[in-house]
Amino acid sequence: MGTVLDVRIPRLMREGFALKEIEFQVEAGYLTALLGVNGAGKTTLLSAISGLIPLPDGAEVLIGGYSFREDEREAKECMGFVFDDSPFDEGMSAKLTGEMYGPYYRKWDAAKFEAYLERFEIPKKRALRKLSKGMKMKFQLAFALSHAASFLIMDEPAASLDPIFRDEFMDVLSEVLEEECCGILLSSQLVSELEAKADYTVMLHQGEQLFYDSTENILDRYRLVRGRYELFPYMKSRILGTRLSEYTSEGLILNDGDPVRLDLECVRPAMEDIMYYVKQGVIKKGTVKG
Amino acid sequence: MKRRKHFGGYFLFLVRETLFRIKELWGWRGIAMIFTIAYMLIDTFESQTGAEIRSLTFQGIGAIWMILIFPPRMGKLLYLLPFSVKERMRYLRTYSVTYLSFFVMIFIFLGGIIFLISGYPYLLWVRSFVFCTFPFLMLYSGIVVKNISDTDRRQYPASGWFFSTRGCWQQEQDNVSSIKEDCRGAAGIAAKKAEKTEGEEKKEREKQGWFMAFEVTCSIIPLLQCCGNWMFTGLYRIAPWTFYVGGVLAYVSAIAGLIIYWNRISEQLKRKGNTGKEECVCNL
Repeated sequence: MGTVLDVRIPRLMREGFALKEIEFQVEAGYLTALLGVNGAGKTTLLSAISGLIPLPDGAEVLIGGYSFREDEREAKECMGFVFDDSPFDEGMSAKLTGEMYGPYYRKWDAAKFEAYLERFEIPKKRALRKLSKGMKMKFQLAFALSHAASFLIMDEPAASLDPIFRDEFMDVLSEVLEEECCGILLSSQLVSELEAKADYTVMLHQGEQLFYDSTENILDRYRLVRGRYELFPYMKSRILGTRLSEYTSEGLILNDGDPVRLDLECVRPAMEDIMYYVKQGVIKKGTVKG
Repeated sequence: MKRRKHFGGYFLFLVRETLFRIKELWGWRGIAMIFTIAYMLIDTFESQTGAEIRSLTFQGIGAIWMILIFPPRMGKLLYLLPFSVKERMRYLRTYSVTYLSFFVMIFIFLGGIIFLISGYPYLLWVRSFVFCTFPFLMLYSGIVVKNISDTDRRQYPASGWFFSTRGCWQQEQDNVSSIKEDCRGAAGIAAKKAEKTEGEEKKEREKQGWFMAFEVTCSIIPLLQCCGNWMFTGLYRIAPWTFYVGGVLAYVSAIAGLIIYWNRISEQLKRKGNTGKEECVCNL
């Protein structure tokens, strides 16, 4: 066990969009979710981590302890990738892709690759473009695991999968975490599903890292109060933000241990609720610990 | 002895890569390939009747097909695989040379078959190949090099098969916009910097404009050659000269284009090399 990814990016500009004060780690054996609304900077951050865009001065990305600046090759040896749009040549078969690109990795294990293809039931000789989306994801995962990557970077891997395949894919990830003991950084819009699986969460908003903490801690930090809106003014000082609809009224408060009126329902928020309030600007960087 | 082994290694690599490429042909590209070969053969039989120029047509058409059926494919994979900057450059070089060698091999091979079938003078064919078809391949090699170095396709969709310098230009623009952004807060310097960046942008745009014009010219010349073939069908005496002059022009422009591509890409790669020596863009 140990840190497989260490990111420190004070500032990164990209097409007028800035990533600011990003600092987090991914531990081996844990799944870290990268969350944020559209345009929060998730893909830019993942591109920077995976070396697709250059890091500015002062920024540092360590993968498996290797610096991207000083030892790019070793850093990439430790990194496996699973992207929504596969970077592999779609005209080639799974087996051929493995044969062609696998040997560039020093720790490439062809037997392991074959075993994973069989385990994930990926047809070896069919062109990648003829595989279903889920199969393509699994293929990328098989490729990444076959060169003993200690860190997996995943950008929206389950975005276009149907719910059944998505569950299956997430189960595979859980198994991989247990067996291979690698760290995973996964960005996704499917917050509710990630909430249950992710050990840690990095939340981005408008290019800024709002928080990085264990998912449990983040969810425990807040409470939702629900009930009649007329009762809300009595808690005005505690309510950070509200969400009103025709039938229900809901407010977000900090879970500071103080009791809540009995006629209001007090529940633990889901990550989706947190994201809603982040988008509303209720949860800001300065107001969050961790 | 050692040298021969080295050369043998390269040769084996080329053979292996060629086999991979042929394997890749299955699918619609394979069908296109079959059509191309069929057309070439039919055309050769027709050329037996004495239409020398027509035998050049098939090379042009064949080359166009070749370009269309082999879209470049490395994309961002080049930056995800474990390469150091030096290795990446080496791979890029090898990859482009492999593509070029592959096409040359295929064409020479087809020429051999055609020669055997039709009794057409092989040397004449090779000469016309060097003048008319090889520039295509050189040009295509340039496109391949450019495209496989074009990173982050999701954000900046690459042109795919045809000419575009968007990838390179985007990188320039990033630097400019980041300078802009960083200077936004510094009141006194901001105006000066903005002026400077605007000037740079304008200069860059002009440069890109000229470059695009050059690229289009490069790609049009061989196409004109093919069209010219039909246009001058009745003028057998003039037509060959237009081909050869056009061929030489295409050849020269393709080499120049390739050099420009190569320089630009080297520049781009150096900038993206994460060596820490690249120009600082964020802490002005």
